[in-house]
Amino acid sequence: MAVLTPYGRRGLIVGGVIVFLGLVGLLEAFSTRSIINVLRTAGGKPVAVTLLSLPELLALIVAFVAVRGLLPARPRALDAFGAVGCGAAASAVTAAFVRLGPALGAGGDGFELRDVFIHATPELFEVLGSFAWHLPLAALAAVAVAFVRPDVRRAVTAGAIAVALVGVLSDHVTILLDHNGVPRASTAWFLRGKSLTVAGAATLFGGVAALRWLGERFRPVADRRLAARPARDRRWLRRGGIALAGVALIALPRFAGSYHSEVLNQVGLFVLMGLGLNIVVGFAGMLDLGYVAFFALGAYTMGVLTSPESFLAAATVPGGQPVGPVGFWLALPVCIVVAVIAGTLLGVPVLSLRGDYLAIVTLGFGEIIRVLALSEWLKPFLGGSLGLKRIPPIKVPWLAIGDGCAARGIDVPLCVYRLAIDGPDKPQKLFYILLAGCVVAAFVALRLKDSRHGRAWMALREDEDVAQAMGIDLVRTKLMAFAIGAAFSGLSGAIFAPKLVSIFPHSFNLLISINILALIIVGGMGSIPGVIVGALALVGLPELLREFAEYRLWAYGIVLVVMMLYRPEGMIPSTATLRELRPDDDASPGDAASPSPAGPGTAVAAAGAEARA
Amino acid sequence: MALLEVHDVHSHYGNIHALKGVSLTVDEGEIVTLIGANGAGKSTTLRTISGLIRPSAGSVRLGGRDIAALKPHAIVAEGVVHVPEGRGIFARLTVDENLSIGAFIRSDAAGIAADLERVFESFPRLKERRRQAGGTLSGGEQQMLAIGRGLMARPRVLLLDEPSMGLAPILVEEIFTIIRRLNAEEGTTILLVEQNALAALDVAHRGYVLETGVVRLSGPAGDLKRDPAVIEAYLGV
Repeated sequence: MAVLTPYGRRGLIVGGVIVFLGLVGLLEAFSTRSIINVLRTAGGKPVAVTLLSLPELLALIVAFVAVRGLLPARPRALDAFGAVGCGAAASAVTAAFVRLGPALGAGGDGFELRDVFIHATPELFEVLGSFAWHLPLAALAAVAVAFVRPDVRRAVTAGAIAVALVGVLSDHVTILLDHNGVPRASTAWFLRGKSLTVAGAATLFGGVAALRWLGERFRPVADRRLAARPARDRRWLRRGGIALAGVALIALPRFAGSYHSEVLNQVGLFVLMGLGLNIVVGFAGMLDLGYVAFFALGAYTMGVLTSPESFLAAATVPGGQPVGPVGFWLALPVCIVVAVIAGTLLGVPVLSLRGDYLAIVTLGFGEIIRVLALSEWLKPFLGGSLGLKRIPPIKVPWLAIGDGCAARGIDVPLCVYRLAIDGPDKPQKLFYILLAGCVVAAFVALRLKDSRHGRAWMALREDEDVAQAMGIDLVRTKLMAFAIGAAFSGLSGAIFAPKLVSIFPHSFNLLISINILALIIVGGMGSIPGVIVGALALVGLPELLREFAEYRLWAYGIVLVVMMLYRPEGMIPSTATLRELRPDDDASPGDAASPSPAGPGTAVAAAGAEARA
Repeated sequence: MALLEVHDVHSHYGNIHALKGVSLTVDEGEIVTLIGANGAGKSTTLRTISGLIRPSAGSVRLGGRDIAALKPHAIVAEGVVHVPEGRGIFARLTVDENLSIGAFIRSDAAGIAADLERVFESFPRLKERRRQAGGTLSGGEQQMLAIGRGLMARPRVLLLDEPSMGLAPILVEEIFTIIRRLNAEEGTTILLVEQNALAALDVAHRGYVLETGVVRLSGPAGDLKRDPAVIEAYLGV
């Protein structure tokens, strides 16, 4: 019986956590989101009724994770009892709260629960009241999963995540389908109203799970076959893959529409900054909390140089001619140079600082830049709290054919004109600018990682003293990381300014720095694909879940804590982090991946043997 | 003229006067050992030579050129490579990556590749583990990696700080065999700091005994081994 006690205790905690989530208002905010719904007939008319809502899903996850953590490697029958008991205890806590909560204050003694917890509304009690059967079921599912083979378990997890994600974002899926002219009737079996149908959820779950399973099953075989092919073939295959991804990315804004392109652009700005900060933090191991400063410098430099309202435009050169605003492309290199100089200047005083000390100094630097932009002193130049306005759109040389030229009063079949990144489809156009920026930045970061400098950063990150003893110039290596990191951020800021038209000091607060750092950690320190995935998860996803904006930081906190506990290496870890955190998986993968010198025959034979085994 | 010439060097850690006028020389092709008790200033001497500590007075000459004012990375470029105490392996980087960082100051790809082969010849066990993270190696292997990494810079003088520290007796013997072989077969000049005075005097040509920042005794290793003061203080017989 003693085996069961921890389960009961855990159940009470789970119940408490769920009630807490309700009292802070999270469940109520989420209750509008339905993951799966079914059709019921009510009064002769079919209505969509929620089968699984987001709050319920959240409670399920909490219960599931709580039980998983308690289970031994090989659960016995008693553990199953315990798990169900855990779920039941949690349900009992929520039920008790639903029973007793509204009664508080009903006695007329002037006290009401809502005076303290403004979210203790009747709707909350309704939401919590629906949890009865979910929690024991989730607990039981946790036991069942323990018996499943790991590959099947991973497949099931992938399927469940896909259903949850598409379910939560189903209104966006609907918008995208509408935007692309897909008739609703043709997708009604899959999506109904703002959630998945049972058939849709089942198909999605089955499809993703099957793909994941097949992928895991055949990946080693495919890898080995690929490794057996001559290097030239592999190179072409890779180029083909890159070309395909390129075509998909180029077509993306067309299918995404204005709103979703805007979301992608937001992600793009953060990918740019993330790639830059990744060099400083991920490659060189220097914790920089003031990274937003370079973003601000890029944006303000762009604003001052290009806005017709800036002091620069009004100034006159000694000859008496006005300076006038310059164009985006002329201003862009200036923005980057300014950021690089600022990065180097910041680098000099912090050269001898490490870890926490470095973090505090850079934190201060970030704030100084923002306070300077806000200051009365620089108001004539930077506009103080009113910021800089009327930053003109980016203009790119573009080709027009036939009528396009005639419309511009040029009677030639083919002409070049300056296309303004503006108008109702500004987000779609801007996407390409950001895409180009990100591609260049990712390429530079990738090349740097494998270069001499990359190795110097790596050594510096691991041990400064030894790095020096290996002949690495500390000063140069550190300053270079700061400067290149700042350049990426400056570029991001330079695009940010014309994107927003007006810029204000409050757009450049500490939260941006923290955001970028968080996306690097979640994506995987030092990993370039990790930055992209991290930006999508921590910038894109919250952007799509706008109505929960209040809970954004809250969710950030949860995500970071959970990541650090269960997957500290990040979503797409770099190899060095993997080696540190999962040394047991480190069975020299390099040998398997390198082409067999004995020729393709043996490798294929080996792959065949593997497949039979 | 000696290859490495340390003359009347004083070093400070803050207010602590750690080296009070240390002088020593290392000739080309020699193994010279620096022995002494804990806190005598052995590691400080090495750190001063490699520029990690700036001496407050005195000179450090390599082939007649004063290197005392140079930055650590520039001193490596001059040919003095320091294998630090505690090995200083980059734990998360592979054996290959560790070795390639050792060759950081060099740009002759062919020469680096040849030296990599030579290191693997000297330390076959490193070759078996070349894709393994440095931190997962055993203590002895890590020491081999640290020495191999130092050799990758093609040093004119190799400074070894406590290579036997924390190793099992059988491994200590192996490490000293390797040191002797590097010197005999490749002609590597080595300045060796050791707690294990007996083993150090066995492989070295000459030795210096350091006591609280001052050189007390010096001479051929064989003589030191027979010196009653040394025997009593360091050889523990």
